[in-house]
Amino acid sequence: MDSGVTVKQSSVEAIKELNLSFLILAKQIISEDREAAMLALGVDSDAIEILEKLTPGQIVRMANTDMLLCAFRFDDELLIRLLAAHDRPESVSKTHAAILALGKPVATI
Amino acid sequence: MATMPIIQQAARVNAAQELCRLGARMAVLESLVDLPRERLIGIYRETNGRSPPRGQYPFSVQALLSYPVNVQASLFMAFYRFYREQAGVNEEARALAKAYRSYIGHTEQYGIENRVDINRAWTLIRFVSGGVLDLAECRACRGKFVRDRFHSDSRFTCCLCDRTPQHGDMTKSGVVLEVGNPH
Repeated sequence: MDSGVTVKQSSVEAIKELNLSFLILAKQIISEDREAAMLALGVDSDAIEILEKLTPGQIVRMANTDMLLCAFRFDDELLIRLLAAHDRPESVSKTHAAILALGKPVATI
Repeated sequence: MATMPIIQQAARVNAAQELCRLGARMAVLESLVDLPRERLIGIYRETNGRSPPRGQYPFSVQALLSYPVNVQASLFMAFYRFYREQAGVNEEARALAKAYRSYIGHTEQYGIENRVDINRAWTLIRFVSGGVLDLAECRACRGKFVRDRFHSDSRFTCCLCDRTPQHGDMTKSGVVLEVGNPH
């Protein structure tokens, strides 16, 4: 697959590797606990079902692209600020971030 | 009971055992798992190695409303609502167990002293669904926080956004320091 973006060859290789790791990790999390995987991956049950059914061959083909398959999960400015906060104890900032993140709808496909 | 399918029975035993592992008392087991009381007592005994404690479990609504317990209660409710509404976990016993496991995972990861045990978590769910407590949206961060139903004005600010001085840590040492006890 060619998305037409110009990314250095070394970065393209890194993207492919990360895609593969991401897909393998996603499948592993799903096999451990489906509902907890929705929480960890931030996707809905339809996406979980598709990922669940991917064969090893399909995973390798999917990963082999110069586009990153995982995207930034939070577009919310506040959430990013909370996750990166340095002015409060980690126990407080991470808990605040979790409360906000859990309230966001998961990604649908 | 005599006619209950074996697999269904096994699923209920599993659910009861998971709740026991998480520290649930008889009141929670009896309201969530449809098995005879004697069997639930047996499951409790086998899981915990002792008989279930007797008597009422102390619970104070007020305790859930002040920092830091309010933050922990709100976090638990966020997990619970995620599993119920987004992940579609329909059975109450499973939703409680899953939410509580996730909640424990979070508190352990950040060394937070856990002030909401599973029995309180269950009472919290019932108080929210029964309208005694409310999940109110903070106007600053838009997060949902546990709040007393009587203070239902629309201009609500959560306890994490409200305080101008820095918050005490929620870890064990942090909380002790916050209440002014040196050790």
